[in-house]
Amino acid sequence: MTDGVATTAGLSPAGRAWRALRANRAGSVAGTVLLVLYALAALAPFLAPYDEGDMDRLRFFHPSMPVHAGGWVEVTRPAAGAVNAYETVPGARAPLRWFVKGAPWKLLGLVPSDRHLFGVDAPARVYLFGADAMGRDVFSRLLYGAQVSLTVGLVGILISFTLGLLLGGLAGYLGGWVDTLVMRSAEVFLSIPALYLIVALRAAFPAHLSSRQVYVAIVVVLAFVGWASLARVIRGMVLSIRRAEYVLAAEALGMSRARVLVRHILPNTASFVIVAATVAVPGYILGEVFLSFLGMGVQEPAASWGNMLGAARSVSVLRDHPWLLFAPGAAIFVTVMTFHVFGDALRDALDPRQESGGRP
Amino acid sequence: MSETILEVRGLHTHFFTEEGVVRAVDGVSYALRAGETLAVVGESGSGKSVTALSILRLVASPPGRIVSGEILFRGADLLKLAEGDMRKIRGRRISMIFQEPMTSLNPVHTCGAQIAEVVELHEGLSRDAAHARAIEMLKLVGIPSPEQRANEYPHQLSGGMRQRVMIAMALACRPDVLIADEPTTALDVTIQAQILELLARLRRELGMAVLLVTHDLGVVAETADHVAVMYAGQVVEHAGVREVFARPCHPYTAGLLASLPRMGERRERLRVIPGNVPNPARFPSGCRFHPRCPVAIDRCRTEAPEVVTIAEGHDSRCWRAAELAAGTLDGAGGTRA
Amino acid sequence: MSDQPLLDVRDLRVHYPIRQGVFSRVTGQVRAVDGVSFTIGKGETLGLVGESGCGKTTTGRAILRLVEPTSGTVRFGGEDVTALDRASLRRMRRRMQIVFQDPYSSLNPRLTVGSMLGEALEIHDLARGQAAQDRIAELLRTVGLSPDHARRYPHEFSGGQRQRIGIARALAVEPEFLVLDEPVSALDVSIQAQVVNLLQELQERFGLTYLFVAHDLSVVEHISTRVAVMYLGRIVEIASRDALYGDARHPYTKALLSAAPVPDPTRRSERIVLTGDVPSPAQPPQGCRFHPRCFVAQADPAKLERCRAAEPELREIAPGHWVSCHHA
Repeated sequence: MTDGVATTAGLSPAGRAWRALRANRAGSVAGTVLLVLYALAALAPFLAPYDEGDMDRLRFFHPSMPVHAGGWVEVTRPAAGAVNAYETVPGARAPLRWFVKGAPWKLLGLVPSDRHLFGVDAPARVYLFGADAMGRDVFSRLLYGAQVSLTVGLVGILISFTLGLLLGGLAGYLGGWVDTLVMRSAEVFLSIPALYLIVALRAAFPAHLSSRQVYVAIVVVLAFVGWASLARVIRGMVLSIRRAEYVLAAEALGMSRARVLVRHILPNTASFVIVAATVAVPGYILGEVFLSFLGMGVQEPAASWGNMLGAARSVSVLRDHPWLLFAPGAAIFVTVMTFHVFGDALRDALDPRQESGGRP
Repeated sequence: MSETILEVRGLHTHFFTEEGVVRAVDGVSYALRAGETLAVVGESGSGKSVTALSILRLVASPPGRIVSGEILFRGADLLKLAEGDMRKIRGRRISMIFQEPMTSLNPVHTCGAQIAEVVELHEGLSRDAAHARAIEMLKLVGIPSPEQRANEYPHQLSGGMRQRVMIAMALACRPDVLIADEPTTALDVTIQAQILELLARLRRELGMAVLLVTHDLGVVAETADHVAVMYAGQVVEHAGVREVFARPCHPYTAGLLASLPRMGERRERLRVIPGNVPNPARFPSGCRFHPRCPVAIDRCRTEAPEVVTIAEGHDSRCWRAAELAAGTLDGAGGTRA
Repeated sequence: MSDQPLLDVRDLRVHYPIRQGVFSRVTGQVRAVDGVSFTIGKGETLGLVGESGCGKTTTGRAILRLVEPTSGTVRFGGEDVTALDRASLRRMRRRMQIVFQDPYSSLNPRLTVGSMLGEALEIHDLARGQAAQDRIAELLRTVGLSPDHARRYPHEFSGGQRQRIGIARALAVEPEFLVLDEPVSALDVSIQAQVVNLLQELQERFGLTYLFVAHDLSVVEHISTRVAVMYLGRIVEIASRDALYGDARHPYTKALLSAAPVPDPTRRSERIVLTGDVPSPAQPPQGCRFHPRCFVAQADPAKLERCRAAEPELREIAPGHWVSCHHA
């Protein structure tokens, strides 16, 4: 015996989820952090003082330099008689300058500009997070790398979820041989250890590709591995939703099967799909890290968090130049954690159990 | 008249949610005498189940909390007991069975083991003795070939059999009070008849008191000695079962009884209580039933009525209880949809 | 009743295969509905009662072909529904609608009430644009809701209001016949009477024909003109309301009637309490399906013999009163 309770708020299910998400503190913080991260990635060429490939042969493994009050950094030079060691030039200051002219770039690949948020006058250089083995600015590379690492997840999810939703939806709704075919292929994918599958698929592409081609290859490989588990869950959901009485009612009203699937069944998997997509993004980010670690990912000089981390794998680097590990490591950690927290909050906000209101 | 064994006094159980405080139980009092059946009747959101859970202090906290009141079991206030002492009461002195026999039994243990566990826990019996007691209990609740059934898992039993196992488990320690929360709602009519028969027999044989929480007035009429009718977190009428059915002194009770279709009685249309069951987060002001009440007067809209005693053992929470009792007013109001 | 019934169901069967193992081999059949025949005349209400698993819900759905019948025929207004192709079936569904039990799962949570009703009008080309808006408002008023409820989502309504929306959706396509599948059993007691009255008013106003599926015998008695009792996939007794409630002949009907609790403490009845549980529809008992629980058969070994041996036919023991029992 349940009789729910009428409320007056005229909110759509999406509207209620939005309100619940806003009320969730951890969720709002995570959502804000994600927005900031993506904004940083989009504005990377403007925020970064240097281009991702900009080397300085005099400053290999330069450590990070602090910004002093008043907005200046020290000017350094290689220390005499030591390798990869630097000393400050006494009394010399390189003031940070705002909106300086520098390497040309295009905003989102469209709007050309040559202004950068900040910089110092050459020949001095500013290394907020230090420099790598080629004297490239880690801070700049981190921002450029974010463009790869943060989008690989979104694009990958878009592809694998489109596949999974379509195939899983058809399998569940049509049943019969469609179901058998889709589900058996999904099981084949799921029974091969994911890492080997990724490596094998990557090997199917030519070894030497432009960085853009590599990017596409990575996304395709990861998406190809990811669709199967989703298709399986979607099929299960469709099977249970198609027995819901509102689906029967739609059929009883004389609706076609396509209409029932698109309008009455698939939208009701949305809550699940959105949450699943959010918590799946870190998998793609880590997948790119993994491929780059094996040298099969984005190729230098283009930056990705994966190949930055891959460059920091020797013991000597870890001992002598730990910033090469910490900078990309922290970026990956923060991003992955934020996606998980955000996914959790989304799950709570979209929880269908809240949809019936006051069932005691 | 026998002694009072369990008494709920001025109980308030509230739920503290993001949308605000839900006063699910808001000043409930009723008394259960040894050996009798008290039926607590109400619709969804009336607070009848939360009251029952409050007696055993099983309300999920947070968000729920017993804010005030007393629950006197043999004169001692259960709300003042330490959690450890309370655990010795649950399942041993006061037991509870639930509506859904499907989910109330643990699917990974045999039925016998689940009954034996309760006895081992409370009476410190040995494994073998506890198992023997389990079989004895299964026999008591009328399960055929109990030795064999004791070794079966819940999913191997039908709904009616599962409810019998639940009852066997609840009664294994011979409690003084059995709280039965909608024990037959999920069952078919013929199985419901079996379970009600069983509960009546066990009550006679074991001399326990039964607190029956239900929405079904037919079940109430067949089994109860006394009735407490709940609406919107409060008891609105409390009386002997014949009194309530013959002379309801609250418009809600009267309306409910008038709205029931009855076998052998032909009517063009059923009489109805208009409106909807109120939201426990936003009870109406004044008398909580006034928006749906056919005989409400101005006073009902602003002032919450107190409980008045109309006759010995017959209470009503209505400003017009006296008129209803005298028969000068029809509580169902003759309203038609 | 007119000469030709509006609905004529003959020997309807719905069997579900039981699949087991890796290769989904069919190892048995659940005979949910196993040879059901009845007719409903225009404007009539046939109550269909029985316990869970007896096949009453499946019967209702098979008539609309929401589950495909295994065999048998369903004729509606003279047309064989079971023989229709997909397109003709969609047109036929305008004339036969269904209201479900659970007001929580029978409304799509992602559509507003207005778009839910609008959709029904749209697919059968009944109204568009402003005409559709007017019709939606009218439908909502018809079921006792307000036209501005069209903008709201299902979660904003109580159970009783949701059931009214479900009824409005069924009425949107102007059907002649409604399957009412336990329409009040999930509702609060004080709300049940409201919905029952609404259904009766709609029947009178639009000349509807009902199949009222329920387990609550008193509600069925109130609303039905004739009543059929089902047990394990078969009809055991079918008669006019007065005959069935006044002069039940089948032992199962008698037990069912006496088991229903009566809301009157002065009439604590002597119940016929059946022993045992309802057997599985995958393995119905031999002979009469009711005989293992039947107090008549079990009391008399001579009778039991016959009940075990042969399944009784549904036979007419009085005009319009059919019973399937050897000893009625």
